[in-house]
Amino acid sequence: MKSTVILFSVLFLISVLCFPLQAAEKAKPAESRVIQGEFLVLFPERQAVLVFEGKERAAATAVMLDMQAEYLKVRYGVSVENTFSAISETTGKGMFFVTCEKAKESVEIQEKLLGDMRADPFIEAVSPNEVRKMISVPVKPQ
Amino acid sequence: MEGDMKMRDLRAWLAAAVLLFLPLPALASGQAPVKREHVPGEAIIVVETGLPGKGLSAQQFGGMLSAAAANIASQAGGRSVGITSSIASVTGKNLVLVRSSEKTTEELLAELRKNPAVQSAAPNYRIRLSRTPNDPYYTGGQLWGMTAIKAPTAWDTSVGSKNVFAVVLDTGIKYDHPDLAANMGRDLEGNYGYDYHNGDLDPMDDNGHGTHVAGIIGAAGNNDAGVAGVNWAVSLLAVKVLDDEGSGDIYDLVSGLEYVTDQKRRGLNIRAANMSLGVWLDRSNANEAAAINAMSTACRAVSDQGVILAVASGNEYQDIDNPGGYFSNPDKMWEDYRGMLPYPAAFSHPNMITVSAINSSYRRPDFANYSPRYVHLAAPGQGIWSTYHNGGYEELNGTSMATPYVAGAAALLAAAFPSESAGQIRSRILGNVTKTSNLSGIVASGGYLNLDGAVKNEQTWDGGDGGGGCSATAAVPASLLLLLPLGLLLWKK
Repeated sequence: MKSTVILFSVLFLISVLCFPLQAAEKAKPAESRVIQGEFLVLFPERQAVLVFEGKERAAATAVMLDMQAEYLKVRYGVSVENTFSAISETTGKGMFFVTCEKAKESVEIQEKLLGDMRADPFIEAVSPNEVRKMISVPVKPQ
Repeated sequence: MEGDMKMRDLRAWLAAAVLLFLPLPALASGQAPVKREHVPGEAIIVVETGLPGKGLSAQQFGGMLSAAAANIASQAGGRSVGITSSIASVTGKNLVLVRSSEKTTEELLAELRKNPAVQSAAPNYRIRLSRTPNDPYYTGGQLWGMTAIKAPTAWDTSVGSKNVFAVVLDTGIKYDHPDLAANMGRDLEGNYGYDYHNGDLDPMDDNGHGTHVAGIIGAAGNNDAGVAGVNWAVSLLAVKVLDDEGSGDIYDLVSGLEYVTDQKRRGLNIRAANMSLGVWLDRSNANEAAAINAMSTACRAVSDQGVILAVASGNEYQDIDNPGGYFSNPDKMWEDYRGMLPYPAAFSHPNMITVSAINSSYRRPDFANYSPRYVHLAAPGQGIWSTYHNGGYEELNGTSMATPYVAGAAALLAAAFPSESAGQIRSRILGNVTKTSNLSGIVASGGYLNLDGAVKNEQTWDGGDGGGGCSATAAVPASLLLLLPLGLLLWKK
């Protein structure tokens, strides 16, 4: 009888101790902070651009980026703040930094815009801009 | 006179040693021997003399050797200018230095080899001691990392070049540091780089981390001040993507990589870029997967432009292949790494190299992340002295410090072999590591950076193109080693 009580007590304690760990959201390394209303947009690789070399590829990339930037403005109402032309020319993937004033003020709009752009078959990936700690110096003496 | 004779003996022994041992590595590797400098019109010959007979004084024996040497030399159109009587009295072989003012070395050697009394004849090769800088931290022994990577012998071949650019994507560089100013480069717009955090042209370091990294790659060497970098001469560019606390956003990081790609594309001779930074991300999270995609595309662009991109494995005490949960990082016990990978360390683009750390005992410090799948090699990363943003010097630990040894090595190799591609230079670095059991199964190459080996390039890297794909060569021998005791046990039974 006594051993049964001890066993149940131990099980109870284990369940109490473990539950918060399971329920709590996973603690992420390198604390991050999303910058509202700022996004990195990546289009899929265009082989039609990569078949060219040198000045021809630069020209083809410029046309591709113009069209993609216009698409983002018209379709989603975002401002194209920066175009990564060197990366785009090298990889054939259009890459843009865009902002949305409304999304800066509303988490709902931020999430809606993110969801809409991600569902777009012409877009490969969209990442909200995030600040992250990226360097660390170990503190433990070895 | 006796001193002169000793000097001649020493010189002759050194020459003989070179003569005997120099060809061995070249033959072993199946490569053409390295062309060595020699003194024009001089040859070292070995003449069989026999041991001095009883009753013969040292002076008489020396006289006999001199006469025989003079005779041989004159028959070949030269004159004997030094003998080694002490060596001959022990070995029965006289090493003679023959000089001719009329004949070339090749002609003199041909004539000498015709004489049956001459056992062998070789050019009088010049021997230099390894170049060592006079920087006080080096001469004081604090720069153990340079010795560990065999930089002094590599410096015989090259100490770097201002024609080669190396970019530091970090917290900036204190570009007016006395030990860095001479090696700061200017980009195509005439700037030291760019500050993407503040959006201006002044990439001054406000943290110290970037300046430390820069000093390892290229603090001015042999300038009688502070430390020496892997490159005594190089053109450093600062791309500030992190703030004074070492934080940065994905946009700034991608912008920094865009800068490198753009400068390289437009003709700047950028051969190496250093990213002593990283962040753990979860690919199953949509936001993080997108960030990984953006970073990967940007890193790929740099790699595809032919820039070696050295990245740190990180300091979270993790086996990247099997990251731990809470309490697995004693510095941050609340962090859970399960299901995540560190980026950009985990990318596998062709010209990327992921770097873990070793300490002065050539072991991986506990903090240094590792993986035979994602991490290529190790480099010195504990107790590393380098330049700091306060204008002085600081000792830091971390894979952040190991990574610039590799970026620096890439820049130095590009200076020594300017026509080689990034892929060839990467192969030199990864194929010629100093292997150690401490790193077997820990990093893909099973070793740590060997700059001299990379310069001589006596091995080849067959570990594949990318971090993610380089596990096979290291993993197979490691697993076989693990199975060996089991096999022996079964066999005995």
